[in-house]
Amino acid sequence: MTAWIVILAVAAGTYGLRAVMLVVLDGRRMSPGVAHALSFIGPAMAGALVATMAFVGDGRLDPAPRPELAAMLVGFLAVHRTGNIMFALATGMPTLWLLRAVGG
Amino acid sequence: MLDTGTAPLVIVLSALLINTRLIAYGAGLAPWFATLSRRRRLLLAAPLLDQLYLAVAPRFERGDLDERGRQAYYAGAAIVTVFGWSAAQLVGVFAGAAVPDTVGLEVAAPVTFAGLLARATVSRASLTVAVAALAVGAAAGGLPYRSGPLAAAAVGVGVGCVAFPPRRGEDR
Repeated sequence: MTAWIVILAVAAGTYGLRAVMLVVLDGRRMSPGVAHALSFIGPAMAGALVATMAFVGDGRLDPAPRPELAAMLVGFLAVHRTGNIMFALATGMPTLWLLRAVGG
Repeated sequence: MLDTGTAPLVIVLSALLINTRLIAYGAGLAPWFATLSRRRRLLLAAPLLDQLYLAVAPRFERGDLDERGRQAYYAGAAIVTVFGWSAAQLVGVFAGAAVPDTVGLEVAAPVTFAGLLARATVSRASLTVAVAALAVGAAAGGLPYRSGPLAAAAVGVGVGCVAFPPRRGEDR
């Protein structure tokens, strides 16, 4: 029973976090400066999340093994070149398999 | 955590602290849906995940969709993300154990996020922001409650605002 209460509380709280700014900023004219800053949220969060996946383990600086880093780099470059997100997996995963196979 | 005797309130607060980054996504979406009713904005919040925001934001940044177009795009992306994610999780639960370790499924998510990062960095400004966040994110991994990504993103946005201030007349 306690577990379900915790799950429901986390779900409700998480929804609140998602919704709060959508409601608070409702109908207000935003200054160009604020709107400009908000346009950086995408690349900033993407960079921060990728950094965590690539370089952080057990709450400290702990880079992922080289094949994984190479797979991420190749996936990044492929999407940067093509604009198609599917190329991340299509190129990154074979890179991982190849490097693991040769012991990279 | 409950099994180890951790107080339920501590578990809830810890989970919410980890999810505080979702506040940023809500703020990022708000200007794109300026005329939407409050009730519909509350609907927008329901499926909002890292993957969904990072999929729609670069498309919206192109500036070639009006608000109606953005609503349609967001709805389509949300359906694909939520149902695709749920289906993939079901497959993982029932068939994941059958996939050999050599496939490296655990690397698929980081590789996909690297791709989402590439889609989000289409200009010199966005690339600078991402590099700053990436550097700080790597260094800030030890911050409590996994708050490193949020701190790194805040630094990234700050760097972007200082290095690339808004041009006169710029508006989203």
